[in-house]
This record gives sequence, C-alpha cells and structure tokens, in this order.
Amino acid sequence: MNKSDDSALVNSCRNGDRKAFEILLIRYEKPVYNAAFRMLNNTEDARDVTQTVFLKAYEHLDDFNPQFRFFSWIYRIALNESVNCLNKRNRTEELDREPATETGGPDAEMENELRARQIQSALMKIKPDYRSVIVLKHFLDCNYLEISQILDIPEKKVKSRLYSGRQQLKEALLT
Amino acid sequence: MAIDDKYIELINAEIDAEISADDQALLDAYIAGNDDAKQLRDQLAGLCSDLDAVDPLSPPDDLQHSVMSQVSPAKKTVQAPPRISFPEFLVSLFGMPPVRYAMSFAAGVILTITLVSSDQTSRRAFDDVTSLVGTMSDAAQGGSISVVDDMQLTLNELAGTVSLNSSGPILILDFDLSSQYPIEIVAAFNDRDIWFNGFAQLESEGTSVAAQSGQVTVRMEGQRRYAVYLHNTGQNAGTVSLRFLSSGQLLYEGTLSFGENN
Repeated sequence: MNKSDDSALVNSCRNGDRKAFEILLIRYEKPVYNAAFRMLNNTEDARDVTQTVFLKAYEHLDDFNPQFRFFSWIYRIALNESVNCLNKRNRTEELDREPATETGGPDAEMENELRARQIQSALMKIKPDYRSVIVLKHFLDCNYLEISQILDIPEKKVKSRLYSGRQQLKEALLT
Repeated sequence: MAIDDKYIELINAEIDAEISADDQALLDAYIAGNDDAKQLRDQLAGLCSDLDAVDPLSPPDDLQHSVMSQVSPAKKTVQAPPRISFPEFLVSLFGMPPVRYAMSFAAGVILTITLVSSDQTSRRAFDDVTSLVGTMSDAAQGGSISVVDDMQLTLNELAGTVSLNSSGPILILDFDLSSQYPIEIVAAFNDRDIWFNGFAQLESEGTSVAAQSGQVTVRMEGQRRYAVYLHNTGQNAGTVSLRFLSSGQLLYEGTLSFGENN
C-alpha cells in the first residue's frame, strides 16, 4: 500500500473505473471494519458503518484532496460515521453489546479471546475521543502524525489523548 | 514516589517507538532511580502489548458485494474539449457581445478587450497605456499568426491543448483545457525582454490571471478557452515553461519553445 498507488486508483475511480474502486475496497475493508467494530462493539453496526463509509467515499471522491493519503481520508470517514452511530445509539437505547464470538479452541487461543473481550469491554468504558486515538494507534497502526491528520488535531493533543486513554484503559481493565 | 509528567510522556513515547536517543538515555536514568516509573512503564508496555496482540476481525463475506452492488457504474470523466483552431477561437471572441469579452492583466486590475485575428484586425481600449503596470497587446503588428509549439495534456484530471502562437513581437499562449477541479497554471519565462501583455477569454468568468516579473499565473476550473499575451521585445529565441498544479501538487510540467524573431 502506498500513497501513489492509492492516488492512481482514486484517479481511475474518478474516471469511471469501478474495478479501481473495488481494489480500494478490498484493500481497506478490513481496517475500516475493525475500526468501526472497536468503536462500536457490535458486528452489525460495524458492518453498516463500513458499508456507509465506502459508499460515501465513492460519492465524494471528487472532494478527496490528493495532497493527503487515501487511508487518512477513509479512516476519518470511518471514525466520524462510528461516532454518528454511537450518538444515534445514545439517543435511542443502550443496547446490550457483545463482542464478536469466535469458536473455542486450544487454551492459548481461548485465553487470547478472553483477553480480547476484556480489552474491548474496557475500550467501551472510555470516551470516544480517547477510544479513537487508541483504535488508530493500536488497531490501525497509525503513527502520531497520521493520527493528527486523520483527526485533524495537533500532534501534541494526539499524544495527550493517547497517554490519558491508555491510563483510563488500564484502570478500566482493573475494575 | 511521584512520576514527573515529562517522564510519563517519555514512557509513552518509548512504547510507541517515537523517542529520541537522548530522551531514551534520560528516561533510562530516571527509571533506574524511580520504582514507580519502572512499574508504570511495565504496566503500559504490557497493556500495549495486549492491545497489539488482539487479532483483527474478518469483515462479513458479503460486504464487498453489498458495497459494489450499490456503486453507480460511472463517474464523470474529463475529456479534452473539441479542438478549434486558434484563428477560429479569435473569430469566436471577435463575434461575441462586448460584455462577454473579458480581459485582465496585472492581477486582473483592468478588464477590456484585446483582439488579434489572422487578418490583423485589432482593437485597442486605451490610446496610451505606457503608464499602466504592464501593457496591453499592441495587436499583431504585421505578419499572420503562426503556431510555433504546442503540448497535449491527457491527464485524468486535466486534458486539452496549450499552443504557443506568434505574430511579430507578440507571443500568444492559447489554452484550451478541461479540468476536473481547480487548477493553477504557472507560465514562466526567463528572458527579461519578455513581459505580460494581456489576457482574453471566451467565458466571462471562471478564470483569473495574475502577472509578476517573469511569470504569469492562471487559475481555472472546468472547460475553459483563453489566451495569454506576451510581448517579446527583443524577439530573441527562448522558452516558456508551464507548470500545472492542483492544491499545490504538481500534475504536469512542460516547455514551449520559440525561435528568434518568433
């Protein structure tokens, strides 16, 4: 994945090449879906958000500024859509969320799965602003600068949110 | 023992592999003498290791199909405008109502008309232009217009033709372009005897021009046809370099050449 490759695909999309868009979809479907799931803790909502993200991206490809990287743009849409979904959810009812279930397996696998559930549960206890930064850093492998561009906040703020978010997550895991 | 905020920041930076060698040495020295700091570092490192170890989930199998089935089949494509010769372009200008003539120069300060046609028809808006910043085209002074160089653009976001025409000491850059989004074109010329002489466009708006020593900058979007006039006082051979940019990013660059006495 590199910037120029993505840019070329975006240009092809703009010129009506659906195949180019499909390549971008295949490339970014998984990180976008995972970001949405980590923000929402619900597989159905994550699916809906991922679908909305790509449809919106396609509709607004002309608005994409080629100075930026495509993944920054699409991750930003993903986080915004996730927060919108959270807000809607808050306005209706707080559903009983549960993480994705995996089939049982060897002990180590089950332990990993249990730990993953604990982490997800703790993630849902911290504010979305802090959760977003942790998701970008630890689940999408973005660095400080990339997070700053995606969230459109100064790098200094990225660091402070990340440090506070980790501290809150650590405390949430202990409770 | 309390932990200084500065070192909490350094512990996080270390975990994120965004710490400098100097800061790393500083942190190591601090942690060696502070058990609480060491404990915090171990806890955060463990937490981050757990976070990084969470396996990514696989999206539903039908998600790609679901998205692609809702994507409309075609997006717009930029195509080069139908080619009209430069003399025809001038005739078009000449045949339009005066209100639609737009001419600007020296950063668009003055709007008026300057026309040059193949049969040497000319109109001048001012009798005396010597006190202006830049002057307007003196029209073709003898000799017909000839194309001396041109370039084709076939980018996804920008397509069309730019040709360099000459008539006596007048050089005319003829832009016939379509762009998908705002484009900035910088025409630069090194010869000190060449100066910006005028600007004419078919459309009454949508294109702006700014001139300064040695270069002219045009901003446009959509399908546009316009001409930039340069006066080659020395009538020396030379080049005009063109840079096409979008949001500051270079899309294309090229050079148009002209000979002595054009």
